[in-house]
This record gives sequence, structure tokens and C-alpha cells, in this order.
Amino acid sequence: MIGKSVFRALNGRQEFVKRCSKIVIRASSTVPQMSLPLSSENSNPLPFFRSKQNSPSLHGSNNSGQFYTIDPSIKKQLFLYGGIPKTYDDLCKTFKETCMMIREPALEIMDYMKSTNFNNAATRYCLYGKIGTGKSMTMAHLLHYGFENNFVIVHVPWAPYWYKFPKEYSDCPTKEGMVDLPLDAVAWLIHFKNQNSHLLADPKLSVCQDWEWSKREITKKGAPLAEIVEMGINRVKHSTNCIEALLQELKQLSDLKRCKTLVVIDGFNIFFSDKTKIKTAAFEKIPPKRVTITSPFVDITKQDWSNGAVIVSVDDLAFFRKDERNTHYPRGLLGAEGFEHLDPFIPIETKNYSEKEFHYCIEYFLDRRWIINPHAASEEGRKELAFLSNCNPFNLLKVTAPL
Amino acid sequence: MSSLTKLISTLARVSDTKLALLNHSNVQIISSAKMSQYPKYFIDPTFRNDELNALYETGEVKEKALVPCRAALTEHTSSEFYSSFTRKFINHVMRKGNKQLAREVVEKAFEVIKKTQIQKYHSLPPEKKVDFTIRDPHELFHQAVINVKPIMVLTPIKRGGVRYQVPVPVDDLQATILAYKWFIEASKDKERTVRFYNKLAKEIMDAANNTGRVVKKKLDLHKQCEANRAYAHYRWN
Repeated sequence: MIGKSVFRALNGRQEFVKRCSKIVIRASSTVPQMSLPLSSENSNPLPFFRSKQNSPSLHGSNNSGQFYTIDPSIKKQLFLYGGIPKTYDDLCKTFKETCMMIREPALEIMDYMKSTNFNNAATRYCLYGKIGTGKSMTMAHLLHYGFENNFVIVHVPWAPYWYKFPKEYSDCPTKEGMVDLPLDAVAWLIHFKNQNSHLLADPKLSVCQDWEWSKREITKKGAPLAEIVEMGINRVKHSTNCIEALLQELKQLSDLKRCKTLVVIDGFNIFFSDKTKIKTAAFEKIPPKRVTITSPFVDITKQDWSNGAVIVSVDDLAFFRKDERNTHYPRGLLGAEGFEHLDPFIPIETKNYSEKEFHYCIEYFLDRRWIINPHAASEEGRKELAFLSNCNPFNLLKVTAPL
Repeated sequence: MSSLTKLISTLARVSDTKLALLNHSNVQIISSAKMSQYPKYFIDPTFRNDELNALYETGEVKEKALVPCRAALTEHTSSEFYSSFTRKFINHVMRKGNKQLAREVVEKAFEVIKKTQIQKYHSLPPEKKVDFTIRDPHELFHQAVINVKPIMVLTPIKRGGVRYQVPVPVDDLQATILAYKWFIEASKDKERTVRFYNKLAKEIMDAANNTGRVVKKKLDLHKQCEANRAYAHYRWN
């Protein structure tokens, strides 16, 4: 009974803080990439598992394990077409807030990015780890960081979708033996436009060379970059060519220091696999190499450009079920070809929850009423949850679902 | 006194067995020794930590250790989240021995119940949040079954070459089993695209509020029993 009243009191305080923050946001709604500001000094302090800092650039090791809140407007801009894993997104809709845990892999990469010399070639980071340890969530956190620091974001939420559930495929008219994914390319361009809408208006982002789409359609040198994006969205036939042009332009523009680019690709190892569900007109099944949308994204992860960063994740789930390699290490998942392409890179491992992170996670679930069963809050209950889920973040979600 | 309660009390007066009719007590799912591979003197296993500790404290352990004991079932766990009531329902949901699927489906239904409540809770303004209690899905299910259990059922009894539908009292265990059956039937009766666990969750939440399809089925059955009260004496004749 005492516990209940404490919960109610805590919830009341949190609602008060949220209301204060909401008023401040409305006043400054014209400023782009505005995170929820720090809680005002007058309000009661946040519980220990929540961070006052809602801006990833200011996250440090003292925030490790804490949950920070993403502003709904930022979530809409960054993650409308994917980025936050579906199970977790469902949870965010249930809790009416998008909160993410600040964990070591994300802090490590942000630390490196803050101290990188961007005159050198773009550094490549490879996130790896067992299933459910937080690779996609780390990427979402880093996307938010890139967004705040005015990076042009090139984001592929989950690359295997193109090869497992293609919307439509057709033989490429210009390149022999290749297959186009026109609608998927358009969908990606719309996603790119949505994420970088505030930067595409910048006059510095202008095209470096002429691009000829057909006899009558030409994008001339000096035109805004947004024109290529619009061309790809409106003319489905040229969508993949527009992606190629766009990514090459971004490489050149980054070299010329007119912008900085952050490439984030989830499930990168699918690009070097053998299988897809895509067939040619002659019903021949083809590998990802022969799909036109693969090459621009493999190209941008090369080290022939500067002033940017490439964050890539490798996951066993990217492959088809029968082709699982039962390993979580980059060398096994990328294969010889993929490893040689990506080498040298900085490998970052995502791990199961530490004791502190587990404790904070359970407290957050209790706070949000995700765990209702009174036994779960007790010491034996927590020990059982830690054992059943092995402190794996995804498994913990599954195990606590019916409680 | 309503006509229904009159009928019940008539049956109670005449019947020999004691019926826990009007107080819907908690169901005690006792392991029935009616049809069992074990002889009758075999005792049930003690698998809950608190019960075991109590046995050690009182010293009953020494006596119990000498008595032959039945094997514990796979669902008899010392888990903190064990619910004997729910596990019986999961057994009824199970088809072709696929216990894992049955458990997943029932747990998913509970998850859905929980999510709908939490979403409502978080949409409320802070003043109203204090009054809103999010009920444990197990508790809700328990309440739903209590609301759905029938007191009487119709049984066909043949008298003089004619089968009459006679209202007959039903004991607690049989009533619970009927309630489980009705929940499962109601959850199966759906469009192809609707998931079983979503339908089950909806049925449980409705029944806990004493509304919905399954409660209606019970009430219809009671009405029919009322209507056939004239045949009640055929039970003994």
C-alpha cells in the first residue's frame, strides 16, 4: 500500500515536470532540432533512472544507464519511416513517451566522434553483438546525436527489407543483368528528405557537376541538392540513379567542407550475402550485388571521402532464416569480401545489461506500469527476471510482457 | 426474492450435496484422484518455496518425506509469477499438446489487456491518474471467470420416451471448466485476420466488467433454466 502512494506521488511530479517542459517547447517551436530542455530548477528532481539531459551531445558516462526522452517532433522527423525497432516503438506508444537508455556503446562512439579529426578519411564504426543487445537502439541514439550536430543523415533503417520484402522489382533498362527496386528507392528518398529537410534548404548544398537523367532532364551544376531528391521522388524511373548521384554529391560536398555527412546503415552484412527474394524477368534469383540500390550504399562506406562518419551494424537476423551463420562477430557475418571492404573499421560491441542498467530498466518499467505483478518488484522477482532474460534487453521486454 | 434465487434455494433444500452457490468462492483446483495412474494414498508434491519452508519449520517434512509422492508436472514451478488458476486455463487452451503455443497465446492476451490499460492511464491528465488503478491481468481474468460461471445448466433427462432439458445445479469445478470453454469458443469465433489473443483479451476485459458475449451466454443459459423450471422434478422422479 505504501508503494502505491509513492508511485502515484512520483507520477504526479513527473507530470508536473513534463507540463513545464511542454510550455517551453511551444514557445521555441520555430527553432529546429530542439530537444526537451533541462528540467527547471524549481520543479522536483527526476527519479534516478531518468536523465535531465535530453540532448545527446551533452550525454556522458555520468548518464550511463539513465533514460532520456526524445521530443515527439524530433521523433517524427527522424524516425517516421523507421529507425526505432518495432517492439520498442509499440512500447513507446503505450507509454505515450519515447525514452531511450543511454548506454556505453553509444557514449563511446559519440566520444570518438567528438575527438575525430574530420580532415582525415571518414571513420567506419561497426556495431556488433548478440541479438537483442541494442544495436538498432544505439544507432537511433547516434542518429539523434548526428541530427543535433547538423550532420546530413544518410540512414538505412533496416537494409534487409529491400531484399526480403521488395515492394516491386524490374529489370534495369540501362545496366545489363541488374534489377531495379524503383519504389523502394523512392521510399528511401522520401525518408532522406524528411530527415534532412532543415539542411536541404541551405544554399551551400549545391550540386558539384551536371547530372543527365535523360535527353531532356538535366540537373545542372550549382543547382540545389534538393532538386536531385525531388527528381528521384517524382520520376520513379530515375529514382535509383538519383540515389547514386545524391550520395556521390554528398561525398564531394563533404570533401569540400560544405557539409558533414553521417551514414547509418542497419544490417549492413546483407549487402555481401548470396540470396535475395528478387528475381529477374527470366525468373532467375539474384544476389544483392546485382540489385542497383546496393552499390550506392556500399560505395558511401568506402574511405575515399572525408568530413563524415560511417556507422554500420552487422546482425545475424539480416540473413534469411535458413542461412543464419550463428555468429555475432563482424568477420563471420560480413564474410571475406565484406570484411575486406570494411577493413579498417572500429568494432563496437553491444552487450547485455549490466547490474546497474538492469536495475534502472526495471525501475523504469515499474514507473511506467509495464510491470504490474507485485512479485516482480521484490528482490526474488528481480533475480528471477534477470535469470529468465539473462539481462538481455530484448528478452527482458518479452519476459516482462505478461507480468 | 427473485424467481431465479427461489429456484436455486429449492434445489439446494432438496439436494443432498452442499452447493457453494451464492458465494462464488475462489476455485480450489484440487488434483482429482478419480482417475489417476497413482494409488489414492499418494500425496501431491509441494513445490512452492513458502510452503516448503513452512514444512521445514513445523517439522512436517520428516513425516511427508516417508509418504510416496506424485511427480510434479512441468508447470509446477517455484517461480515468483506462478498462478495455478491461469495454468489450468492454459491447459484448456492447449491443442495437440502444444503447451508452448497455448502459454504464449494466453500470455499475449494478458499483455494486450495490460497495454490497453496502461495506454488509457498515460493518456489521463495527472489529477485523474491517482484514481485510476491498473489491474493485474491475472486478477482481471479471475474476476472474469467468476462473472461467467453458471450456477445451473440444462441436462437432457429421458422420461417416458421424451428427452427433457432439465435445470440442474452444477458444482464449482464443472462451472469453471464451462467458463473456460466458453471463453475459448468466443475467442475462436472471429474474422480470419483477427488474432486469437486479441479477441481473448477483449472477451476477458468485457467479462470482468460483467458485459460482453460470454456473460450473455451465461445469462441466456440461466433464463432457459428458469423457463424449464417445470421439469426440475425430473431430476429425481
